[in-house]
Amino acid sequence: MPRQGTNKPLSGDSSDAAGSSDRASLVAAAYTQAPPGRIAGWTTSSVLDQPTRTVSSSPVCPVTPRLYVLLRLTHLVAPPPPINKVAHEVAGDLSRVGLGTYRVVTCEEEVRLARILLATSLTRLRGAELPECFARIRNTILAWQQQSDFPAMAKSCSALASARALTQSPSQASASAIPKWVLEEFSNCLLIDEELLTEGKGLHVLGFERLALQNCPPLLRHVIRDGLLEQSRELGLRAALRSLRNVPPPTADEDLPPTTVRVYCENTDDLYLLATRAYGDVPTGELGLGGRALLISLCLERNAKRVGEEVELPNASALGLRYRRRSGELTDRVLAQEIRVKSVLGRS
Amino acid sequence: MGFAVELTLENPGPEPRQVRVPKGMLFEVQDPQLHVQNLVSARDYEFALDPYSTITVVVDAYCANKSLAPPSLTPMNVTPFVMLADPTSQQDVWQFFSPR
Repeated sequence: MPRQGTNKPLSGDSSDAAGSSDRASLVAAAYTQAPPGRIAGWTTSSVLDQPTRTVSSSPVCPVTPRLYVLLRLTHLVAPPPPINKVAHEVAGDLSRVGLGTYRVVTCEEEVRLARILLATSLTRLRGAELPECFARIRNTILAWQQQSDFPAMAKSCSALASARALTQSPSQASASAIPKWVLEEFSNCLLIDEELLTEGKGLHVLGFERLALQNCPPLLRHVIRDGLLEQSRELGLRAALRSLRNVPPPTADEDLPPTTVRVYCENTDDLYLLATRAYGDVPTGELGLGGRALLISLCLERNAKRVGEEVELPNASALGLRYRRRSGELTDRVLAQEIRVKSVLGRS
Repeated sequence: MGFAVELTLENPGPEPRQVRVPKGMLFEVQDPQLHVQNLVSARDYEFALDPYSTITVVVDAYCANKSLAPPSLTPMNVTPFVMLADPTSQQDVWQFFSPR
């Protein structure tokens, strides 16, 4: 049951950590979130430029600190009458979200919290052009907390109502219209019309791990990969992929050294996307000269049994290949546009 | 030899051209999601193209991906990559590209 203004200990938001298992991540990323540890009297602060508030904690609270959600327990949605059925379960997959009652399930013993990014009334702040510090001060956090006989077990959930307009009108909401700041700050978000929320018709918090969307269909379903941990992972991945060169510079005498990047990869689709990035410097078939599809194909084959764990992204040298442009050879003739490749057909 | 690449080349200029296709040169299937085998030139070739002419040559090849389906007049690309090995059999190529 939600409550206001509680000083109960608040567990950290570990949704980023939970998300680490289902997204491609650089295992050896240099930037990591602070490890779980004892937290006593920690100050919740945020990137939202709001006044911070010190929240007392029990001496033992083995949780990961919440990093970017400001806890303001002053705007709670009154709970509706109990709803017996659970229409859907959402475990990080927002693609099936519609009207109904949701249970936010746990993932690897860490609570995946629902964060609901609410579209603001567009007549107020046209946030995109506003200075960051001003645009953020009217964000509102909706929070609710699990009741527990054991203070250390109490957990909080929160939703965030953004003070910044995401689009000119709700009808324009689309994945491509999401501004960069949203991508940087929030993950696993639903976009819901604020009016419906403030009228108390649309969103109901049904106590810990439950919320209901009624008469308030999400305008947008978008799983956003962000969070500090996710950003760090992405930065690490970018840095690692930068080191993964496949085509030597034209002036280089020697081939590139073998390099392999190892990353965690959940599924074949993610692996394909990773491979596309890893071999982004390789030609794709213009002038009939390719190479990228070859490297992707070899990478997919090499990692066929590794999907779901750590996969290897070897550069061309590590795959046993040499980029070669020797005078008179077909590659050189094609690049010099002295010969055109009209068609290449493989057969067996 | 089980595999081959049918290569059609055009010389768009007024000069005759010699073109070499080195042993170990790789040809890629254009869409890697087709899960069709890429091919490796099995020996060195050299062709002469007269000015403004087009020729079609057949290059004997090995398959580079043991686990994928064989090509069947599958559209491919030339690539700038060659194997860092000197394979003498299909088994050599599969061994070379197999995950280590």
